Amino acid sequence: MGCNTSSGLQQRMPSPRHRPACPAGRRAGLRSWRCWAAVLSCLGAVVGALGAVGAAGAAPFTPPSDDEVVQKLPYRLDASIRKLWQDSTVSGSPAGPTSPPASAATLAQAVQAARDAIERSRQFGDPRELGLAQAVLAPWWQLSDPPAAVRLLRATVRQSQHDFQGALQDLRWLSSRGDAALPILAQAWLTQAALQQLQGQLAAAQASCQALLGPDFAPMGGSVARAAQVCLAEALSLQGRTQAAEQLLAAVAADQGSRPGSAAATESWIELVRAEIAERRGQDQVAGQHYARALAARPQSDVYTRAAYADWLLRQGQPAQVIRLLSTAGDPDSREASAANPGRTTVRANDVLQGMPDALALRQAIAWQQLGAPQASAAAAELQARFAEARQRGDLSHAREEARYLLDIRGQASAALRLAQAQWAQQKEPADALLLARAAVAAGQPQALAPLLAFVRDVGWVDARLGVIAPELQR
Amino acid sequence: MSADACPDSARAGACNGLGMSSRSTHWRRIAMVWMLALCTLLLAKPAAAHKASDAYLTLEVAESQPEGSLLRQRLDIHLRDLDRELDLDSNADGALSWGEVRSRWPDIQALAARGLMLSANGAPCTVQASAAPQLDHHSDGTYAVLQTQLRCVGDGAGEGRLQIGYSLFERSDPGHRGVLRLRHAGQGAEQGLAALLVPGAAPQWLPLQAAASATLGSNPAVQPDELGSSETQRFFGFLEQGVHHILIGLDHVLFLLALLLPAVLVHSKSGWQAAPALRPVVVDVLKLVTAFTLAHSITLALAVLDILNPPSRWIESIIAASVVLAALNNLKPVLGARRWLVTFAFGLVHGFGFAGALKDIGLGSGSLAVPLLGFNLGVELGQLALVALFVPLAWAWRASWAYNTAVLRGGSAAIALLAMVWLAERVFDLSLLPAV
Repeated sequence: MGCNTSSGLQQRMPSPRHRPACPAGRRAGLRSWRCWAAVLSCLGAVVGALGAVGAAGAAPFTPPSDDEVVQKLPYRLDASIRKLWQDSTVSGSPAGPTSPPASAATLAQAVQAARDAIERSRQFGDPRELGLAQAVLAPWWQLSDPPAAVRLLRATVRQSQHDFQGALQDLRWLSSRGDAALPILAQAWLTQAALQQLQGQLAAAQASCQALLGPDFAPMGGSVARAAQVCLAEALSLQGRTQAAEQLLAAVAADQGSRPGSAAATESWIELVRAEIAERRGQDQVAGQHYARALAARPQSDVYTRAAYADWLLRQGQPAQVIRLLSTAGDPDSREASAANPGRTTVRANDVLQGMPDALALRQAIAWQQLGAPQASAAAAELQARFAEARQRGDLSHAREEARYLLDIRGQASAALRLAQAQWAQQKEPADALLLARAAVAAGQPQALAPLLAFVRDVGWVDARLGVIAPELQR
Repeated sequence: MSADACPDSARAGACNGLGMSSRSTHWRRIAMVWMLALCTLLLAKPAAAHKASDAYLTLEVAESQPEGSLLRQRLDIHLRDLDRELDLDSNADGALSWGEVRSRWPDIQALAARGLMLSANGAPCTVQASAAPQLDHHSDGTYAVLQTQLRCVGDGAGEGRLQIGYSLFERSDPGHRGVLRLRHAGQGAEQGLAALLVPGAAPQWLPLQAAASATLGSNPAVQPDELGSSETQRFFGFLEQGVHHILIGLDHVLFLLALLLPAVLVHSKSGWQAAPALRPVVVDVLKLVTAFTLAHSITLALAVLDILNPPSRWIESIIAASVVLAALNNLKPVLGARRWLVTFAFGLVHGFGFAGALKDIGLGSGSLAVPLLGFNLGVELGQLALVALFVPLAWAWRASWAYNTAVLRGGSAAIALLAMVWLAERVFDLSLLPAV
């Protein structure tokens, strides 16, 4: 039913040439019926719209049938883990420093469960699993002097929750005492190196890697030495010694390759580091080959590897390849839907993004945007909702993703720059540098490049991508 | 076992190591394998943080007085978190069906009750009513929605502070957080106080008085929202409440319907006949609606301004009686052309009913004109919507046998019957009908 307000207004104006909208004349029966029906319907529509506005955002529902699947549970706890944390906590409050906690067997089981949970959090990008790791370690978590294995895992969880200081404290304790079991000690040094590198303390990171090449770790054999060399190569490359780094890595790769049935995870890791180094050196094609190998070595690779490869593809102008790459990232069902027909545009954005960690959902959304896909706007809305909810819980650890979202999807360069600056204050990885440089240039604020410029000069950072964005960043 | 016995770090857990194996001849090599598998993961930078476990708690203070407060509580909990503690997936197929969730709803309610303790002035708040099981979507999946109405009795000191003890998922996920929003009725969704609840932390204190002007004490977790409550927002909040109230207030709706049913007909000795012309019908409807509107606006204002405050049980009883009478008049007309006068009289009583609803929502702080105008206009809009939906349909069908017999007579009889039950309930303070 027509409800054109502008013509209604016009008709209400007294005009000799127009009949009034609602004639009061005696024989106006039919016309006035229509008029009233129209007026009343308009009112009904207005009230209905008001109701809809009020209900938006908070509309609980009742599924129509008991059989309807309402939530997927991609990886559930098995009964033994459920029992573990129930046992460890039901008996009382988490043990204080005075009460010796559960038996060694329980400790071993808890450490194992925590490790599995951390691994799932990495593979699926799911922070809930970090909470679970903390929960199974609860009897030891608050101890001032927990068992070394727990301390290592506590550091790992803290690192993943972006509590870098807390993590470093635990790691320094482990590496300085040296009385922990050798494997734990080695892992502590490696994790410490990663954390130092992430914070831009590259000389310290290099020292941590080198500690693993010392005589203390000789009994652990070649596997630790190889890990130490990869660690060292990365630290060297970030300080401008890219040639030396690449030579070191090529040697490790050859050594690794000569061992039959070598660890896929290690191989994948080596290829990832080589890809990143090549990319920073401006060797895009070489980088692409290494990324592809990193993925091939371990098809179910972690979120970080896939995100890094997706970024490379986006920079090469291959958004369609990103969609293909990420088609294995979400829920199994959506995976099937999108893998069966990767180029299809009818796949719904929410189905694809469901269960996909933020880092990958962001790349997916950027790829859709670059392709001009119809899902782009729904994906942007989904990301916005995710960031809003993260902020509600006081979680600021997604600044890198949100800045990128603002810059690449919303085109809000100034807002992106503010977040990129906050992120740079916390973390100094190549991705953070790149983001800060892009946001500063896009926002037309070259003065915001100053801290980055100082850092790059200070450590001898080499990244060809930075030079493309702002020539002054690379001599 | 070769050094690379754990080719995939996803299965690193199978290599139980860490020097705790009794087979000491192997422990070192096994541990190394585990370590290397894990280290590749740890050395890779931490993947960007995604959403951890959150629950969303919304508290709406419907009424806050020194002798007690009425709270509407909505708690959204992720089904995955519930499954972790309650093992909801009874067929272990890795997916939760609505049946699996619904059948365990009492356990979910019990878990929520254990994890969230509300009290005012030292006395725990008591649950007065709980809504049926429902779900809602958030950005990371489906949540169970638990809605309850709570009564918090004060000690008369008028301290007006709400204590929130939160321990949800303290055992199974120390990373869990509760995202709290406290607002007062009439405030919009984005208004009020926001706070973050940490499981197992010391209880938080929140003011029960109007949140917009509340002082927050020394609680660092509570910050007043940037989004204040402008008078316009308040007005639209009350407008919405008014529309809501008339549309869900079945007694008002049925009273109106009973009045409107015969409006498209004329009564004669041979019974009801279709009205021949529209104009008298429209005039009749306008007279009825205007009489009702004028009357209830007068008493709504009188009650809200505290000039007249008749006891609510009488009012509710007379409202029920008005519905009975309006419906019976359709079956055996006695009022004739004076229907509008009777409508006006009963409209006065309905106005007191609206005032009761408005006071239940809470008038909030600030000018009384805002809730009064907003709510009343909302009621009128809701009423007009009803008229808009009903009258055109009735006009179109007025000549049919179905309208005359089934709709007018059947409908009126049904309305009269239902209203009689209400009348009995309200007069004798009984509970005859199942709670809706």
